[in-house]
Amino acid sequence: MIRYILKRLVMLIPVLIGVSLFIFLIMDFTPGDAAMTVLGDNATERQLEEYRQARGLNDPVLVRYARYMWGIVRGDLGTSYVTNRDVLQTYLQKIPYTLELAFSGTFLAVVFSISLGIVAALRRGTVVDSSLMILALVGLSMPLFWLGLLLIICFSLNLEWLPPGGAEGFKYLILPAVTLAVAKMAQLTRTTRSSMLEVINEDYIRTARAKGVSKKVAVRKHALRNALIPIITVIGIELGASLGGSVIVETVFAWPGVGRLIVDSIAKRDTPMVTGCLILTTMTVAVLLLIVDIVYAYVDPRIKGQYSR
Amino acid sequence: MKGNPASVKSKTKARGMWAEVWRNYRKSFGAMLGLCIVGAIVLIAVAGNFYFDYEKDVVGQNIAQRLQPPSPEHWFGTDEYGRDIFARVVWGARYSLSIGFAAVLVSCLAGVVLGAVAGYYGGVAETVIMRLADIFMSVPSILLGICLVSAFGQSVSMLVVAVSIGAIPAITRVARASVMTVRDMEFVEAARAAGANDLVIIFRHVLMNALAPVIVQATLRISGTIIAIAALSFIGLGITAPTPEWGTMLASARGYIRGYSYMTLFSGLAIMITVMGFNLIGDGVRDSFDPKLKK
Repeated sequence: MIRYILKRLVMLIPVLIGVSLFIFLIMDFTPGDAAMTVLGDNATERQLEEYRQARGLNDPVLVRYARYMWGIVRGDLGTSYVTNRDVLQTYLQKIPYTLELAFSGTFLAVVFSISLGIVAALRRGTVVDSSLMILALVGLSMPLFWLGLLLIICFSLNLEWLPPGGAEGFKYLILPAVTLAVAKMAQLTRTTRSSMLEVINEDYIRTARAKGVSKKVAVRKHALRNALIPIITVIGIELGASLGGSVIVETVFAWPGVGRLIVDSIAKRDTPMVTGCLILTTMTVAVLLLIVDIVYAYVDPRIKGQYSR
Repeated sequence: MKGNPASVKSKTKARGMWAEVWRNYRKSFGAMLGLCIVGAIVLIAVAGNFYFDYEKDVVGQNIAQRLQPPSPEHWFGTDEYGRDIFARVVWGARYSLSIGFAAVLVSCLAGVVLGAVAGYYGGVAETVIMRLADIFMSVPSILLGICLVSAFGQSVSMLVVAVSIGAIPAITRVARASVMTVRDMEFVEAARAAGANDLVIIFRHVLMNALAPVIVQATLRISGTIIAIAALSFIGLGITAPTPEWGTMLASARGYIRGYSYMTLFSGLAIMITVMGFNLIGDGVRDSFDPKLKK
């Protein structure tokens, strides 16, 4: 097991090198540079040149990349061109917000959708099932930013129950978390339903029922445990997606997370900040997917056997 | 003598794959509903082309009529420049549909070629392509799109690239897996023995028999692509105002949610209905290619 984890972590290194090189090259194509952003339109050509010299911005892209990677090896992700602050520190300051939003959104989605999915599967073909599936389809088809705006209009402007944006306490978390949860819920309810339907007619369920196990226990202990693998996969993917890609929700609700940090830094051509944040995000997502794979082993002993090989 | 056996033959003739898929597809109410929704949207987009004049009705400003709530003259109301929102929503359909299709087509072409090469040849080509796919898959696709648009400038073609690039690795994987199951089959060996060259084998014999999973994957992705286009436009990196793209319209409506919330309603609804149509089609196509999956 430990060998498997180590192997996965080692395999992560080339991916991270690739990601950083790619982002570095893209940012190099971006018109305008940090000198112009920082010094503004009034800067003279000489001031710009001095700034570029001081930061080595005139060196060829691969030289800059090599220098940057050498810094990373020593644990230094560089400093922002714009704010002059340490990239890692800025990231660490923002990541709690993103984590808070991602986990609460996913938690909400998991709590509701697993039970809804099970209900839909058990009442397959009834009105309950079809209305749940129609709701899931609607949730899946709603763009997050629109849903967010509708929630703001309803709960902030009309009812005045919740604040429309910012992050100053629990009240501020509710609307973004619900927005994030809706799309996940739709996906997860569908997955739970189809995964439960796969196992619900298996012989071992019938055996359990024949032995006198109550329906409740048969569903929870026998069916759900066997249906769990695809469900966990989707939870992992959704959590990973919201760690890196909650840009939209963060924008709608003015939530000060990593997504907005990256978008703002791209707009300011702040290459070290963008590259650093993307590397850290990629790492976070990869580690998360690794955790998902480890969780598989605990849910399904057959998979555990494969890992130890 | 000749007519008889032929007619018997045609009676027992097996249906082709496409006929079989269509037969399965037709049976599903949801799938047909999706087809109707998307068909209706295409029709509306085409009709809007003749009914509205772009310069006058869609982008022409009329300050006297600004911020009118929905009424018989302006079904969906007017926006902050007095433009009729109905005309703009109708006109916006063409952007979402055409860019969505273009992006899925681009990601399919790229993904299929890469996946076919990786799956058919294996070896170094496979390692390089699949490791690249891993790299692209590990960066959240919306962030990748944002980077690309800001690096290469905002334009429709860049938007197509930005939203398709996130889908390429997934399609490459599907295509590779599918090609690998086909490449060692006997008819491929037969083609090789008959002296066909690699290109002919890959494109005529292997791909034609390995395309089904790719088609399923591609149709399932259209809806996500349309949302991604609107999302990029919403954060100001897609299609710029005054072009009536739905996401762009939502972004400008956002400034008027206090008091003029009707502005946010219709363009969002348009996105949702379109995406729902494609989701239904995607589910239908997936189920009809593999009826076993259908519950």
